[in-house]
Amino acid sequence: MHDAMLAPFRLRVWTPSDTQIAMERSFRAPRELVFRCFLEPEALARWWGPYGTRLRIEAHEPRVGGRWRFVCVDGADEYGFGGEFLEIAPHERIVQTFEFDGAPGHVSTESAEFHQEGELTRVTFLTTFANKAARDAMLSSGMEEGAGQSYDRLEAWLFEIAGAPKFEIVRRFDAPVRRVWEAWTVREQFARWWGPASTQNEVLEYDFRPGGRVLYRMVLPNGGSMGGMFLMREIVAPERFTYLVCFADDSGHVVRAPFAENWPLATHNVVTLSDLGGKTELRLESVPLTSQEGEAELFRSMFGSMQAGFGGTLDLLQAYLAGRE
Amino acid sequence: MSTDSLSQVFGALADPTRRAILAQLAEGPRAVGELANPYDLSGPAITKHLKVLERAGLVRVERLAQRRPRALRAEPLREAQVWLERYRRFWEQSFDRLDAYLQELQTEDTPDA
Repeated sequence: MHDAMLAPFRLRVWTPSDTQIAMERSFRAPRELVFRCFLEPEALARWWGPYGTRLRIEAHEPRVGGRWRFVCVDGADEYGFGGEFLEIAPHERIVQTFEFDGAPGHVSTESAEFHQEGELTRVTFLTTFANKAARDAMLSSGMEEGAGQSYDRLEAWLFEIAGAPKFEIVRRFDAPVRRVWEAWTVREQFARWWGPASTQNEVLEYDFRPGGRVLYRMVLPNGGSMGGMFLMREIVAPERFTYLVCFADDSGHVVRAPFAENWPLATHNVVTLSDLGGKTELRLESVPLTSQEGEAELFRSMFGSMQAGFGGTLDLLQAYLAGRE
Repeated sequence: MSTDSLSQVFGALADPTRRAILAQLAEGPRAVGELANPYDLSGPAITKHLKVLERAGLVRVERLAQRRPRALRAEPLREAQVWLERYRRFWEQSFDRLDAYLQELQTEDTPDA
């Protein structure tokens, strides 16, 4: 079982002292890129805030003494936050004060530190409150879930901009977006089509909600079977959803792909539906999430540089074989 | 092909230097010394790459001459390509089924004339 391999890509939260909250998470992106996403308004607008929210930036002066003020828009509700930048050490650290409109006068100090570790960037957050009561109020506000969702969105944005090799499929369906959306998001409908025609497919668990999981099993004609799992992240009906895909046993523990040892334990996937006047275009983009030795390279060799690398080799090979006939 | 050997083939193909070596061998057998030249690599470094390729069954040693040139073995590559196509087919098949399912729904929607 390899469940622990996913741990760096989930937010870990702990309390180093009575007045502090610490959080940590890793991203598969270079440190410079992650750092920029914390300071550039275009990037912040794409990830700052829980799933399904929108960000309105009312002030943003990333220099020592500069102000920041963000309003998180969740449907009809708005939540305002603001503060002042205390320190900006490029690619290493950002320190700022933080105040929530809902608790005026309660100012905390938060820092983010960026560490490059191989292909990963680990970010450590530390928030220091005026007293224990303020810290506890924050802990009980659902902040852990909100922050976790926000960093999941950052991860998706990083994959979008990093130019990482992607496995990509685009398909058009002669049906409106609403129909295609329901085919994914309603269990009975999903079970009707999910999985190859050559296998017997069974949906074992189905919780197509943010944070939920979908567990399925495919039985091959030779009797062997292969299980898989979606770990759902942001779902924006009816246009887009993000999820991790792992091979899994029937209890939902992550297992190695049965076909290749170096296949990534998890891939990060985004499905986007676009309305083409009553028809629907579906785009599936997939990138490797875990980065054990060889995994990303394997994925790249297979999909990322199909034309220049592997594909080129196969072209040569075909010419070689043709020449020998 | 067993899963282990498939893994070895993809693992061997994952490295750009090894892909370049294969591309060279596709033009015909080469002595180790001839292979080393274009990559600015030491003899031992090339030998290491060749070992990986040999283990994956992609390269064989010709016993003909003293030089023992290396030659390309195409079969594992062909199987790897079949597997890649199968992976893409996995998604395509799912989406074919989705397509069929959506068609079915459309038909149900259409009121009888």
